[in-house]
Parts: sequence; C-alpha cells; structure tokens
Amino acid sequence: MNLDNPKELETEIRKVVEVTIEKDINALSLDDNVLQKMGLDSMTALEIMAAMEERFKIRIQEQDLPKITSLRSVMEVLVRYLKKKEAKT
Amino acid sequence: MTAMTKFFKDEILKHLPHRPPFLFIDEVDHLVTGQDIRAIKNVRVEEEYFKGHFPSNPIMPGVLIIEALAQASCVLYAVSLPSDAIRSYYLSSSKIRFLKPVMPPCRLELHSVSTKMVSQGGVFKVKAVVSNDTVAEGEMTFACQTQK
Repeated sequence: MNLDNPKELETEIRKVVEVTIEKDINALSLDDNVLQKMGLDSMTALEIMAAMEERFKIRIQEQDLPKITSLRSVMEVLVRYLKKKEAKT
Repeated sequence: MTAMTKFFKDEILKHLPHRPPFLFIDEVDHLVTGQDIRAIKNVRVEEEYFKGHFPSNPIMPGVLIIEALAQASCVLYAVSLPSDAIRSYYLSSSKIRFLKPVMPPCRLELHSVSTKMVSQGGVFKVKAVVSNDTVAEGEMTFACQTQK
C-alpha cells in the first residue's frame, strides 16, 4: 500500500467498508458519517475496525474506535497505524 | 494468552448471565483467552422446543444455533476481558450460513474465534460442528453492557 497515494487508500477503505456493511457507499463523501448516513448502529464501527485490521494486518487500539466515523477519519487512523507498521519493518 | 482446561456448567454460569431454559452450553472443552473457544451443547430429544420444531421431525431451530454460538462467544469474551460487574450481551449482527440440519441426539460443537474484542463488545468468526461436519458458520457481533 502506497501511503503517499490517498486515492489508492480511499479506494481500498471503501471496498472494505462496503463488504463489511453490505451496502453501496458510492454516494458517500469522505466526510459523511458512515453510520448515520447508512442507518447503522454503533457496533458496526467495531466491525469496520476489525475488517480494517484484517485487511491491513494491523492492530487498532480501542481508544481509536470513536474515530471510526467518516471515511476520512478512518483513513487518518489507518495512515497512523500503517506508518508505525512501516517504521518497524 | 492463557489456555484453560475443560470446564462445566458451574463455571460457565459464572461467566454468562444466561440461565435455563435459555442456556445453550453444557461444557467448554477448549479456551485460549483473547483467542478462541470450543464449547459443547448436548442436543437432546427431550428439549422443549422439539415438541413444536417439528412434531415427529425434530430439527434444532437455526436461531437457537445462533444463540448457542453467541453464548460460546460471550464466555470467550467474559474470560478474556474479566469484570466484576454484571454484564448483559446484545447481539448486534449475525451473518450465518446454515449448511446441514441439526437433529437430536447429537453433540453440537460451538467454535468461536475472536476477531476483535473491546470493552463495548466483540466481533467473532463462528462455526457449529456435528460429528466433524460443519452445520453452520459465519460471523457475529455483540455489544456488552455492564449493569449498575
């Protein structure tokens, strides 16, 4: 994953979110609240978090769960963890 | 991670708020904290729900298989994230595919692997097995609340 290419990361995040919530999210903007816009409950954020961990082979801390709101904030969380992971390898 | 030895109803009841007739685990024969569990439900012909599901053709209702898998996941959660508070669990979602009917008498194995557990709940990959055949599998998420 090229972290300097936000479009590539966004596409990947959209794919993971779509598979997780089983809904088409093409109409969602980066700043829309995914749960509110798609009529989902708060536990869906945990499912998205778990799916991101599985896809990107990272472990996200519980304190970041409230940040799983919009695609942009998911992206920000992921970039932070992926950079940490990259620094370790 | 800690592996636990086999345990039975008395110990299970310490970890679950569920009680008969809505308790669907008889024993736990494998548990690694934070990781996975295998619990057992001995499915008996005498169980009340078989009188109606279905007369002369007893088949364990799919919703009860989901419930049993959820209870196994709850035990894994409770042992992995212990708390002195009384907890309630609410199934948030389940995506389960049923592959074969479960008919009594049988030993229903309930496998659950933690994908993610946090203080508010957990996400699990689950599988129910009878005689080495997978009868149901999928994923489930539940929320956990502590009672004041």
